[in-house]
Amino acid sequence: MTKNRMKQLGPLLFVLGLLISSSGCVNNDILLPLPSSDPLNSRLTNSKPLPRSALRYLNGVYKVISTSQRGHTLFGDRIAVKQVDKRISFFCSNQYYFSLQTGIVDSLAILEGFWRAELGTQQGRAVMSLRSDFASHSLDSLVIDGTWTGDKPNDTNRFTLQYLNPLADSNDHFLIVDHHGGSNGAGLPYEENSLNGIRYTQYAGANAIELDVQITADHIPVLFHDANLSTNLVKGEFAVGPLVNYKLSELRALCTLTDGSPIPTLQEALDVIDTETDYKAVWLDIKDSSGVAPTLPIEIAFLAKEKAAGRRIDVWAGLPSSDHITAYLNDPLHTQAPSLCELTPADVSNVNAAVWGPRWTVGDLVNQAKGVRSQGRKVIYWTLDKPEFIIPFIKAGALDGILTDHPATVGYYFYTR
Amino acid sequence: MTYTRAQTNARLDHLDSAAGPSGMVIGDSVPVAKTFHIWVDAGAGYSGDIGALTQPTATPGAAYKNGGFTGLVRIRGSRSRFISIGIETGYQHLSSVSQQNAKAPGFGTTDISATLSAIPLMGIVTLEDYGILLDGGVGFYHLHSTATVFGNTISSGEWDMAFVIGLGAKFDLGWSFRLMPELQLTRINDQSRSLLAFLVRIELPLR
Repeated sequence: MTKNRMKQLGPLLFVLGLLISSSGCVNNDILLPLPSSDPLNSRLTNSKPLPRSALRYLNGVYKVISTSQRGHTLFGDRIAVKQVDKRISFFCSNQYYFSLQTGIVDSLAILEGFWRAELGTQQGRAVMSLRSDFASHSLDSLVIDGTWTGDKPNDTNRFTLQYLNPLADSNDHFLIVDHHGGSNGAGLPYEENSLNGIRYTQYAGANAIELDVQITADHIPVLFHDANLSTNLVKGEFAVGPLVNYKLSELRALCTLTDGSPIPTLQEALDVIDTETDYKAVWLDIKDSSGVAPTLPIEIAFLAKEKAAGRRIDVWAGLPSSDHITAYLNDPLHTQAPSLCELTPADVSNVNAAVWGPRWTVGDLVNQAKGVRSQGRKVIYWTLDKPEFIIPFIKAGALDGILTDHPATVGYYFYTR
Repeated sequence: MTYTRAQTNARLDHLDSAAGPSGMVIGDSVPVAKTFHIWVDAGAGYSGDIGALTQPTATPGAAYKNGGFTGLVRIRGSRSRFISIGIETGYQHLSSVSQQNAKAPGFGTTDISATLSAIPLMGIVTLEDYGILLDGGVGFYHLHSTATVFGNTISSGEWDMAFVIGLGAKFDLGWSFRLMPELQLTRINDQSRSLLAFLVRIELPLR
């Protein structure tokens, strides 16, 4: 083949390269199953429950006083320990966390569960214990002792923690808002915006959650991020194109989320949040302004139900664009539906939003945030994932929360600051 | 021998009109002007998804069919046979399902009848030598689904970026027509689909 012909091959080889590289691409949204437990060997079998008040007593920053070199590398030297629902979570400095179920066996309080990385696929089991009457003793003498195991046989490591000081915020005033409704950006085993994702992500550090809201053809708000039914998010090859083309019943017949669960409605998600989680707040990220009107009645009904039951979970209708603001202000229900405005502080005042949600990349926002907070509104930045960006925002103060894909990381740096 | 510009132009015009589809005139040492040729390739065949996509609600009793008729038309042009550039469009039937009593959580069961098809719009580069054709292309696929669920028919689709490669052979049928069997692999990027198509084309010279 002549030199000229070799040159002519260039465009074809370029296309060939694109095809091969694209065919080799894998879906990065891996749904990694949790480490399996062995019920027969569980130390929690036949255990008595630990009351939440006792679990809350364990909240604090602990020093790692004994573990392997690898344990120090993975989990660092200080750990934030926090009660979540009926479990205990550990938040570690290097983007690892533990979620441990609890119970009392004989004279010991048992913490048993798993650890995993927020980034990557590393995970394993952990079993810890402490004296069951720990709540009647001084925190200064509190020691939690046990082991963690890696992914190789006989990879068992000592793990001993000693109480250092209280968490920076034990009352959940600071909101760690999980992105995409149980985002698998944090390596979670469930699809984003799924009911299982919502149930789970609180154990990974979130105490509030952002839900992506799309509207079906029959005007029902459902949880879904993209406008189109992409195969990255759903299984079902006959469900193609804009989600809004399909009624809810048609979506349920034609596709599921990639983890096999149905696309949930907003109502189903709020019911789960109400009855099965400890979330303090819900950010409704309404993806299209046409979704504002169908969403507000559900928000208002939920808030009324919470008020009647004597509970408080804040719910905010997200307003990310001027079209959303117009739709919101034109809806007569808007005065009853608290909102979160992502635009300027002036827009926040105009719509009387409960929360300002600025994008963190916009620049120096501290002075503006102070002004907004002085009006009695909250400020929640989005979307901060890396420690090098999270730490300066926490240090600068003038914020009430952070929207993140990595709630355990935000939790560690906030609670141990 | 030296030609004036006028003589050269006159000779090139003569050669151009005498040249075959390849633009070459054998046995002449004078530089040759290559004529721009246009061909239409019309082909039909069968294509299917070689990925692991399935209809999630399908039960063993569901009539699921992967693949179907493919008809593609390509217009391409070139000054040389070796490399030509064109555009391709057509129709590809990708899959269909017919199922009774499919589950729809929260809504009971329903009968489902659905088909999935695609319309490509691709830019294609074709290399041809020794009767072998190698294609590569990039463009867009319009995926289109028609589904009847709970007695209602939904028609929905979207455009996605796609890449294609193809390998074929060429057989002369006479009267300037050529027969070209071809194997084509298409990757539809956003939908993560990989389609394999076998089709037989006929090449028709337009100019």
